[in-house]
Amino acid sequence: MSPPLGHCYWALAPFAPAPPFRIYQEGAAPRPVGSVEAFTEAARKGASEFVLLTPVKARPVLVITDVLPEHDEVLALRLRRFEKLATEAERERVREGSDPGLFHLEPDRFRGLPVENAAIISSLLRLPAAALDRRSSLGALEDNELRALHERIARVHRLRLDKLVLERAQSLLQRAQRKR
Amino acid sequence: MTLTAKVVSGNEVRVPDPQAGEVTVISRYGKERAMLVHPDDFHRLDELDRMLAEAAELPSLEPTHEALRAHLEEGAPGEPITDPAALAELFG
Repeated sequence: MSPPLGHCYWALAPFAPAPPFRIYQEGAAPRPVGSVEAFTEAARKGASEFVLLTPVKARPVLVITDVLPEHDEVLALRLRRFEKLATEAERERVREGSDPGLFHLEPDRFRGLPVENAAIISSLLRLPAAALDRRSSLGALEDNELRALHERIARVHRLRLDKLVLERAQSLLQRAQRKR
Repeated sequence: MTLTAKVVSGNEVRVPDPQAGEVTVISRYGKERAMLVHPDDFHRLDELDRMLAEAAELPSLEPTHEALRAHLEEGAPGEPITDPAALAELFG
């Protein structure tokens, strides 16, 4: 089994639950609930866990982390087929890397995908490793592409990494000073 | 951490004349207690600190109309298969 980081696989990916939420009921039709506030009120009464009917889709995803061993989960991105992009000019922009929200997957390296695709940078999914069909990789990113992808994900989600970078830089400076 | 400058009048303390490029370490019981640096050095270090903080801050990335459309459309469910006969055929 290939390591998942940077690879594309078929996966069972859920859509985010949205109102009206449909609660599974034993032996009865699903109960629709129009808003999240009703769940908050139920939780205040001590009932906070339900089975929600959530649509899922079998689709290829691009895995952007290794399997987190403590949780047996990965982060992954949904893909956009090129034929769904509005114009040929837009397709060219994505191929050139000029659209920051769509990351081109080179068809030569993603031979398992039937058509040309881009990963949607903002479509971060958390998936159990068991939701990935890892029998065969559909293709993989190069290491430098994965770095560029991670940078774009951090930027599009406005992740505050400045303190982390500063601390790392300061620790490197301290190490350099100790060597003198 | 950004440096902040605390101004003390020269009449209140007696300090040796700082030289550019030189740090005077004031020690007590063998431990570093304070350091005296030349104003040029202090401002240079302060500027470096600010530049590092600026470099570490990631510029935000604004998605294009096409990327937003892809996000919305691929994140929205279509027509799920719920027909029992079709499901039986697919999954046995």
